[in-house]
Amino acid sequence: MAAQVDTSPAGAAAKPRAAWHRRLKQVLPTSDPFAVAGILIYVVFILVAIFADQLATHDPMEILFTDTYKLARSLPPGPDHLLGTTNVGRDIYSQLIYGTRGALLIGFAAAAAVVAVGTLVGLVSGYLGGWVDNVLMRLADIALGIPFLPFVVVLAAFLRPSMWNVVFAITILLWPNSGRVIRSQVLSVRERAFVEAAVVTGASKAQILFVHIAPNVLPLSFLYGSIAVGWAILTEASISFLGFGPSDTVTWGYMLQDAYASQALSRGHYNWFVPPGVCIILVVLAGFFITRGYEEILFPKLRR
Amino acid sequence: MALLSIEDLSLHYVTSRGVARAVDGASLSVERGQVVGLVGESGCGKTTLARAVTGVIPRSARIVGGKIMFDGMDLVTASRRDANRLRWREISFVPQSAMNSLDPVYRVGTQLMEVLTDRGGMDRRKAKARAAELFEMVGIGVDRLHDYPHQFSGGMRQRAAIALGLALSPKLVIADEPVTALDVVVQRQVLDLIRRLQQELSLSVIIVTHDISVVAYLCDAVAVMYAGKVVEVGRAADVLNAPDHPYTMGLYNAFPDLERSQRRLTPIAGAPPSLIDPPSGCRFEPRCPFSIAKCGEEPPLEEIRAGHRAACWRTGDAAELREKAADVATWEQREGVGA
Amino acid sequence: MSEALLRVDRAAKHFRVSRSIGDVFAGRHRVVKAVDGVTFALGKGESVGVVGESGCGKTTLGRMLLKLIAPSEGAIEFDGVDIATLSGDALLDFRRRAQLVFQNPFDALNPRFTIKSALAEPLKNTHVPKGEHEARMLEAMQRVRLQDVEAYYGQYPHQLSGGQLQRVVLARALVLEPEFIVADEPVSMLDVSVRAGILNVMREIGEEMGIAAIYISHDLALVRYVCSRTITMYLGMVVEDGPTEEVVRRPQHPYTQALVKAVPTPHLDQSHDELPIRGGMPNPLNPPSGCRFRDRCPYAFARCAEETPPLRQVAPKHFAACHLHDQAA
Repeated sequence: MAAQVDTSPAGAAAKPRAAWHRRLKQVLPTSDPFAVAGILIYVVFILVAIFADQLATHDPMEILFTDTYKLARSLPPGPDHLLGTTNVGRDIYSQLIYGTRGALLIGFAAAAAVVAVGTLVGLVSGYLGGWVDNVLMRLADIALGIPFLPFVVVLAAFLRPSMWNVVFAITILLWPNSGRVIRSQVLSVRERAFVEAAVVTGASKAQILFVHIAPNVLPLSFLYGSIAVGWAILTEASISFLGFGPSDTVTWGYMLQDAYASQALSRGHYNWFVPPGVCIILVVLAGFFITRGYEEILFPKLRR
Repeated sequence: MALLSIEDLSLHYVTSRGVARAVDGASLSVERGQVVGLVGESGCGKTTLARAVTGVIPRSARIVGGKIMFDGMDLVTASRRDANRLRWREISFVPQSAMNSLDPVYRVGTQLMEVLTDRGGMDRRKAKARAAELFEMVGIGVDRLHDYPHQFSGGMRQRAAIALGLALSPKLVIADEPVTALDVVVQRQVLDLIRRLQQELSLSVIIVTHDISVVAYLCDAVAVMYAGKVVEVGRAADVLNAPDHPYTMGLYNAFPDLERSQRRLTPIAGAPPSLIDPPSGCRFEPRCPFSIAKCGEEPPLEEIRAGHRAACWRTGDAAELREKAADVATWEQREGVGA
Repeated sequence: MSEALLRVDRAAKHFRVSRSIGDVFAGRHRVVKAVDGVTFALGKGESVGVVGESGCGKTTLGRMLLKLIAPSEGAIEFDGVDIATLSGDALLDFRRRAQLVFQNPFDALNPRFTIKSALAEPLKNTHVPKGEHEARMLEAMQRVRLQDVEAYYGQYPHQLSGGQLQRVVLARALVLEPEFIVADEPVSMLDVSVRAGILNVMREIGEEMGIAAIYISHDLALVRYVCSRTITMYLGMVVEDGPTEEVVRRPQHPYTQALVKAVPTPHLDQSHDELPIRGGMPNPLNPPSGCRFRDRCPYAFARCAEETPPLRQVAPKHFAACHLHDQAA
């Protein structure tokens, strides 16, 4: 038995701020310390991505030479090159900064696309039911049956390995997960009394779907969005590592692939492959921390 | 000596908004073979108090004071082992939703057997015989031991939960809202079952309920709780026929009664106070139509006549108040609080 | 009861269920007759209680009356029009005139809507002119005795108690100034001390506002408090229909007799006799032949197994479906 909440309507003094705070809490989980840490990590990476031009010391793809006109190859970290240089004389620190931009762009673009498609499909499928539901869910089954990495590799290669094609491929493969979960959530929200109340008071189908049901499944969309960011960044890293990544952008995956192909590992060039690896881990981890926060919003019983 | 006596028990919950005093200095005693009703609204602490006796309290709850004496042993200070042994064998708890006490993936009989063998230390043959005996006792066909909980109706689940509670022949059974989710006919059948078993096995029973008709039907004694405190306690006949606390009067007059037909029901205005920041004086004062200046101080639970105690400053005028309490207008003057 | 607002003519609702995995693969269905041939009429401003145990079909019936579930058979007429034919503006007009009060107030309001927007929504949906909104909402809030209206308006449902929420739910139904309300166990989730307030409002709705109401409950005492007429249902069928006082004092169907005896009362001197009813609800997939109550009935005789008893008049305006009342026999 929970403690009785103060129910007096007179306690509505600090209303405006509370309403604003509530709104924020629906979109961002701010009560869980892990989620806050995740959000902070994201904020740092986003700032880095935005101010990449200011933060980078060199062009990431420029082949650099020393003052003595020798190729600046495999230099150790130092004041000129904060993280040293690659074996063909590119600045690792600048690559990492621009790589952040590339990885986040792919991550967020893919996540946004996955959430948009998944939420829309889930809403329509769950609410309308019938043949619409059947068609959409069989499509989802097909998409889920496709082996993930080979498909992305083939599609990216087939459509030219550009950043947007990677995003496209990831979207096609990831929407069914969020779509199905949101559909099942819609099925349960649809049965709740306030939805029936909306029907009885004359609300139209569109109103019921978008005004009453959608806001109540949105936290779940965000949850899947935060998972998708991590997945997309990992996927991009994987295909880049395999050498099928976007050729037009520097990303962390590209850096790892470059380092691997140049045998940086066996030569002990930790300054080359550790930073992008750590960044990938951090972003993915941050995504899961935020996910945890959403879970607490969605399933309050998980709270201790 | 009473079988169970709870003395001045306080139990607090730590919540994100502060400490909630869910049970605040509650006292209650249960004699051998007695049926005691613990009545109150949701959030009044009745379930928490009952659970404190069984030791099944949430992790955020702390017993901060008082004693729970069971058969001469204080369960609050006793070692975990001693207390648990008592709790499993001599005190049993039948939770509110019968579905909660039955695991949906195991057969009902299997679950009953598990309690008998694991906690009761019986061998399988003995346990099997006992399980059959228990089902017979609660009026379910022995062949239904092989069923899963979902194959049972609501009433049968409640019976099975009672069988589970009686498995180890406890001295004290605590039933939390045993008939709340049930239809009237089934409700009556379950109450009759509890009554019959109580008499046959001379059990002591605590019935936690929000429904005074359950008390009227079944209980020898009753304790009325409000906002974490016991506000009135006594023989069921005394408390129901001549309540001394305005809250008890209100509860009684709010109850729709088939026998006294068109009498207007009197709602109690407002809602129970926050347990985090309760009123400093009498906790019922904000909703009470009879409050006086003195109510700003907390009234003690005092003996008014033999075996009947109430926590109200105006027990002296109780007869007059009872008359006024039966009138809707008395309560409506405070209805602006918004029930 | 000169003019009928609502006419229910042999309405039935059958649900198909697949019971086992075998059924699913074989594409077999079994049919549950949740409501099976219910006929009655409701006059303007009349309040009727529908009592029965869970599974008797009373909730399904309530949903059918509001066109939330379509009947499998039979017809439901509201103000002379079969509601199955309603669509578009006519349906919207019906929605305005017929409202529902829910069992669970904690779920009946969208958690993301403030009380004000929850109250305004029905008005917007049914195209009530915007200028009338404030006055209508204020009136409804006063009707359900929620004073300090402005303070409530800004609140979200989770900030209110069960009793307050149920009053808001009632107010939301009343803003449309309906002619007909279905209330499905509106107090079963509430504490006793706040129940009375809701019941008093329910009573006023009938007595002062002249709104016709169907009050669904398993508790005859509640129905008696609110309704002038009572219908008893058992396994999808109406077994008794009559003035509430008559039904309570002189129940004619053995099932209603058991229900009356089972009603909880707060008196100590009540009877502890065993109820005149045996066992539990039969499986609705496989109800007994003839009278559906016969295997629980203490008076059952041979004819009960052979023939389903029709509703027969036993007193003025009082009907019961029991062979014991067949004068001819």
